[in-house]
Amino acid sequence: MWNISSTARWLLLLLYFCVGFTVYGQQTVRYELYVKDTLVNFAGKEKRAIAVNGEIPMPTLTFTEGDTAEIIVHNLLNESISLHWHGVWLPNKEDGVPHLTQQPIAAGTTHTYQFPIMQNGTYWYHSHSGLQEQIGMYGSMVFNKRQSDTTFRKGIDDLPSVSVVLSEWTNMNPHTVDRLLHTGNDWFSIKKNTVQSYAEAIAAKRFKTKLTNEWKRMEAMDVSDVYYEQFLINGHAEQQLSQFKPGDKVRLRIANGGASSYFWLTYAGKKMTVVATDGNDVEPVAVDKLIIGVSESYDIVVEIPAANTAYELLATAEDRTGSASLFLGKGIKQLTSRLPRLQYFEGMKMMNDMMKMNGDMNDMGMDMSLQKMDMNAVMYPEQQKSAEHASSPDATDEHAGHTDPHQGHDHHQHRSGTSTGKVTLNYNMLRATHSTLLDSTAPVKALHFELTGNMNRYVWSMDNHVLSESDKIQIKKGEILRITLYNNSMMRHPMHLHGFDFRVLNENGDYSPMKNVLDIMPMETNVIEFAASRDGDWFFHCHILYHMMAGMNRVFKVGDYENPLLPNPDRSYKMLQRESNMWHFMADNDFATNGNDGSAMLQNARWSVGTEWRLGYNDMHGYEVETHVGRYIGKMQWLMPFVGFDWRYRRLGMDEHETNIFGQTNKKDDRGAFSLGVMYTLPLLINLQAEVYHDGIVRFALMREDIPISRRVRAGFMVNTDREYMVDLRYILHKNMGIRTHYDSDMGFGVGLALNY
Amino acid sequence: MQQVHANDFFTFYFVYIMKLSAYIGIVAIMLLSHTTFAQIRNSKLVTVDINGNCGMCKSNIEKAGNKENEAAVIWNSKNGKASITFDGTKTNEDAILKRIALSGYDNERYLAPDEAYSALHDCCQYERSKKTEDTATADAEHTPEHKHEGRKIASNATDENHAAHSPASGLGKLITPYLEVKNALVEANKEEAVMAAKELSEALQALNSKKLPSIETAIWNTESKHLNQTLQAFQAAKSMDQQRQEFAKISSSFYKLLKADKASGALYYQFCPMYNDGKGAYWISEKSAIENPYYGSEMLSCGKTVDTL
Repeated sequence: MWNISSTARWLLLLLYFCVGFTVYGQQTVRYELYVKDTLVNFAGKEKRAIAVNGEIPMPTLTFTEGDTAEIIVHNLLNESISLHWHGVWLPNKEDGVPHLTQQPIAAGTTHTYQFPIMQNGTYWYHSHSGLQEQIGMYGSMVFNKRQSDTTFRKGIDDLPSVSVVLSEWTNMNPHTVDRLLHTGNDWFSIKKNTVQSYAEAIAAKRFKTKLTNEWKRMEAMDVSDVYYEQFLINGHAEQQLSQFKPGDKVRLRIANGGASSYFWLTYAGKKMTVVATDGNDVEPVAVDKLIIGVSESYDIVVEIPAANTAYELLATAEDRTGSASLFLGKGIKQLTSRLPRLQYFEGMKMMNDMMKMNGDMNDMGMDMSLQKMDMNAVMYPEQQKSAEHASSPDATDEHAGHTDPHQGHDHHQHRSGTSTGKVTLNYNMLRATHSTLLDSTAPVKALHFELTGNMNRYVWSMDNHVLSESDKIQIKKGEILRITLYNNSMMRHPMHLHGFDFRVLNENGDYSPMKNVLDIMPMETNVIEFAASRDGDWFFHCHILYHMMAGMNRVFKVGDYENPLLPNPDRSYKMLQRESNMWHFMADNDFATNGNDGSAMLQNARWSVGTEWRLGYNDMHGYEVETHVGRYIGKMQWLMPFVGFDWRYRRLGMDEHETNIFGQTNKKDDRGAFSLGVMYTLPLLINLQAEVYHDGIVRFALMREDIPISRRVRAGFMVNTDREYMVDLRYILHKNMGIRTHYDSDMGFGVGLALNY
Repeated sequence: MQQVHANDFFTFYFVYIMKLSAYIGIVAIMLLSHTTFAQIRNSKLVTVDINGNCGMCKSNIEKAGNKENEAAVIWNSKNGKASITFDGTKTNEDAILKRIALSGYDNERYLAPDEAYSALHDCCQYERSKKTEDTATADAEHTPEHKHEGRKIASNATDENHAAHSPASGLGKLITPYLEVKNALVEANKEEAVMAAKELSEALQALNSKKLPSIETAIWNTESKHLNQTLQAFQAAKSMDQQRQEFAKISSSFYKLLKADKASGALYYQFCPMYNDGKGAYWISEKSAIENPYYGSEMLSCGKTVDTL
């Protein structure tokens, strides 16, 4: 008896092992993922994060081409989740976009993803629900190439490989991050020291640059939006792989799982050889430096040159506020140079030249594409330094790029070969290992998208429409989709297509590389194409999490797919649209010695419902409330028509009345009035507000808030035709708090504590 | 009345001032004690090796490592040891040494990026101990053992080369007294320097009458005259500083002569870019290793070899 039960136990154990571990060969490989809340301390404070099987990043999932993946997701959170398999070709219902390809995986439930592995290379996976990707839901996926594969590359595919997931951490709740971005709070610039205030401009002898910048209605420029306390490689600020010996070559499978950070990669052991991108093999190309966009993947081969030394692979955030390191080898650590802080006023000057008065970008005839010309290079101090030493070919190269774009092209098109100059990777240097030509007989559908947006209200869109304003784009199955993208916004965008790889048309013609993420810099025009061979609803969006949540998305509806997981696709699509155009609430109040000044606002991409109040402490100072409901018009959203309701009560004394500059007298102390009006943003970011009330009284006002005087000091003013005026000065203590002093024509001088949410 | 009043006032004023100064004194003491004692809490002390060579290195290293209320680095240029005091709750040895390496200085745990090292001032470009390269080709040139041997051979050769230069014919006779002047300056010995200069001066006079076939007459005439004048000034110099000023001129003339003589031997023409408010100054040495005559022990290893004669 005992014997039998023991055998049974062994069998059970064996079964358990078979299930729990990967099994090679063309078989089903199963992973069980338990998604759970956790507390982490990445940057000095305990904060909430989401871990899968107790890990951040999520565990690396390994398959071999030909396997069938079965991934069982247990949602142990109190909120719904989803998992998207980034870059993977699969049936639409396995794609993991809630409301588009499946229902969200509800709290406490389990969902199974199952799909055949049809590719090989480096991929990754992440949550596609809300902002979960920011707090830990990202992980690496490796699809091994079969040894018998005809494309098996000796010396590359047989190297030891390591998955490297880059990410970033903020101690702030990501929903607060999102709200701060939408409410124009510049707390992140204060943290990053990139306010670019007037005082700093004057100190840098850039007053005119700053003035021109504001004249063109631009706020402080930056290459990224969010301040992060920590950058991470595989969940660590610093990691060491000491198993490698001198002379070893290592393939690093690097995926950028950051929510909004691009990373520069540099290596202390000299050149890195790029061998694949987004899971697709490319001809090896040796570079000194490469930028990995949000959600891109690059496979690089590096060598450990000497013994007793660990060489640093440095991933520096594009805004250079921080970095993370991976040391390869054992022994004393050989560091690589840090990238110095950006010279923002140089960037501002460049932007001034590139920005037209109407908010369009002007590339000055440079035909920019494929990352060949990095305009941000004007801000790189290391480039300026090396330019002084005219000997550095890199510097001359970059400079040629600026003054004569065509020459710049030629320089950059040189493939790796130059041993003297420093080589920076760009998309034109990527060449597929086999012809990627599409079927020439298939019908071609050409689409054109202009990437649009504005920083002032943090609205990001395509052709000036957010997802909630766009229908699905119908594509016939088998059609070739040729998409021209033009970035007419001030930020770069990593555009990601679900379910397909696309060709990035470059000088390699038939051998143009395949990717599924395209980084597109401001003013660039790029063309991508792919055969829409799998039916279903495929998401196409900017992979900067906060841009995606702001509505920079489209859906390609290929063929007529019936998704068994979505019984009511139309209703689900409405949910998706709603989730990418959420309302943001903001409020502030100044508790001052002479009264309370404050406002509350609810806004989405287009609409604004706002109330402002000025409440005195006595009847003579009065009480005033203005409410406006308006809609922002145009790409730059400088115009907002609105309807309003004003109410005020005050007692000025016997027969004392105010007269406005048009001679109109307002006789009532207790007045309620409806109005129609417009708000328009003038150069220098001054708002002009014009309104006419139902009783015929007209009012014009000029106002500006948040004039950056110094890093933490903001000034503001208001003047109107009721002969009222106000000036204020505020010192920002905290993202939600400041000390404000103001003078108001009604209420006099006041000092107070200004709180904002 | 009035006077009494005034007196009262002054008395009061005096007492007041005394009190005030007492307060100020107490506050000052408190502040001082704060800065001296309370600066780094939870302090830990470690001693580590950091490469570097001169006074400028010292300030670079300390500046890179120091952080208010967190870490204080004191680096000794003689033995390359740094004592680091730091607040163990705020930082660690690694972070401090990393900062120091990023500013260009190799240390126990981190090697500086090449760019950071080459961006250092010439005088700070200490001898780097190269990584043990694995590839055979690099081995020969880069391993530290080889380098050291190389230097030894060179300095041995120098002694022989003294002989090579010194045959009764010509400039060779000036070399030994010149090097004595230089070494006296390295040791900061003013008297010895004067004696050596006198010797050099006499040797120069003795040469004057003889023919130096290998040197163009024009060069000989200008430089030997110049050399003679500066040597007189050197001997008359009242301070070591003045001696060094003259020595810079002597060295430059002597170098021109040696260069014109075309006689080859292991002499090193070396340069300290810091001397004379950054104008720099040269000297000739029998050793490739730097022993700076312009600062003495203060900054003995500031400099680099720019030419070999």
